[in-house]
Amino acid sequence: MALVAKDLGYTYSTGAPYESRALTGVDLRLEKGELCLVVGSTGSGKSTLLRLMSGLLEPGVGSVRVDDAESVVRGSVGIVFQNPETQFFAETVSADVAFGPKNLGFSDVDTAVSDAMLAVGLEPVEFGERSPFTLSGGEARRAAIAGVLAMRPAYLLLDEPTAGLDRRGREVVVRALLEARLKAGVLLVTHDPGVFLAHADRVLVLAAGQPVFYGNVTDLLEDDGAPFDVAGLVLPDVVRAQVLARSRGARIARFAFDATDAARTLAGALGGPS
Amino acid sequence: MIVFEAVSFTYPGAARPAIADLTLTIASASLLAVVGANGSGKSTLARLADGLLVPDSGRVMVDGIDTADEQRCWDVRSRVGLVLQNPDNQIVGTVVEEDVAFGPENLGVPREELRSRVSDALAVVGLTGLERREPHLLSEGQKQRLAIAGALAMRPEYLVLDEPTAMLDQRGRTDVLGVLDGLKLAGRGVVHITQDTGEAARADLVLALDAGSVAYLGHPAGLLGDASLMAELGLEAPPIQVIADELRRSGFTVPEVSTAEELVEALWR
Repeated sequence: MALVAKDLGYTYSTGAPYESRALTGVDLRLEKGELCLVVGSTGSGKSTLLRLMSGLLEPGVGSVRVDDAESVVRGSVGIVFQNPETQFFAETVSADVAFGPKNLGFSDVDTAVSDAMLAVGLEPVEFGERSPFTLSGGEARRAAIAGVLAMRPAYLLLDEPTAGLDRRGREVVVRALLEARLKAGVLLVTHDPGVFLAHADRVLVLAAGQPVFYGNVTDLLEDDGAPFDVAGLVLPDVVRAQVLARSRGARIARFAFDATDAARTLAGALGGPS
Repeated sequence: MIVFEAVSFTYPGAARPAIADLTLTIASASLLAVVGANGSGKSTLARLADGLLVPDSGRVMVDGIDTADEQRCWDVRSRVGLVLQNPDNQIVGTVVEEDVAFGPENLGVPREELRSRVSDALAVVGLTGLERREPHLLSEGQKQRLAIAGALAMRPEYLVLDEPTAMLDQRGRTDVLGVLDGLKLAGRGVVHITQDTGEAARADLVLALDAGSVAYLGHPAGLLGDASLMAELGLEAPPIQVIADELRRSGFTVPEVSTAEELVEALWR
């Protein structure tokens, strides 16, 4: 049981003078319980990949299969777009979050709604009856993610879910996604992989629509994170400090992805205050 | 100058003010960073600065013009450019150059000048060559830069940007930050709203908002060096600074550093 892309490709405006090939030759397999990161510079095809994986776009080349079905099955793949808080339409937060599960015919819509809201740190009693348009930016993002979680998708795809969030908002979203991973496969597009690297099962690096790396985090950092260079990306500062230290002879067996842990790793490599 | 004089603003139906008794001066040829947790009033401040919102009490003066004066609304708007968080909500043209031309065209700018304004604005944000591209075919980072170009084509004295780098990768960020530096050097007053304290550290002044009030206004180093205030405001120190601080606490001698290169250079000579 998995969400599988095979030799996936897509070209926008095929045949037009401005036709642009957005994606070529992507192979990807996402099982339930896995977290896969997709990174790449802006315009590298990340968002196109999510649209294909969710069934919003039909593959131009190759295929996307969900649990061996011929195509993407409605309700099994949930997608959270960039800036999802621009898509509210209901009068209250709980009505907005309830929209998906209602349409899918859930018999326990209320439970689905309150579970999803709690998962993103929005207390249903406090936030349920508020207009989504009165929420702060961070609250609105979390409410929008709750709207997709409430459908209990087997595969959850997200486009830059933490962009624009403050520290607390980011921590809540990261926790919610790691919890969602217990039951679903999570595919996450981000330009700020930082904290997610500690939890990712696999990373896909895209450059100009082509995969330049697909594998686990240890392999990604093996060659000083070379795939990031190829894709025109910069490793997160916390990781880069360790990569640079290693290239100067520091012995670093395992990379840390949190600043405090990285300090400990570097201190260990230094051996003690001079 | 843009001057906030004891400004308060409450959204209809909201329990507490989004901005409370805020006094602030935004000067020309300077870069002011505004930081604060989500919901602290950053975006409201941006909207008050260009008259999109007017204060409930107090006033906002743009080069001596009260933003509440409806007769002078366009004088205010043409002086203060506003780039909002989500570029998708601000793009109106069917192709890139039309979108950039939209503002000045509506002001009745003559055709020849319109051309130079559009090409100048696109050059500043690095979108030259994409004049005929449909905006929905641009990447998010390109869209963000298009939104900035649209504001620049109005030749504003002040530019207020609400998290312009939130959707960008590292290179896109560096590009936009370079654009902001250039605007400041060209004499514009730039207000940069950001979640990233590392970006805020590049500003001349940083304003930290907490529940709509000023929690800090001064040199960035004064805020970034105050770990307990940062934590109280829900702000995250730049990771390299956190690493350096942790190492100092463990007894290592680490000079002031702001990049991974500087840190490693200092530790592994």
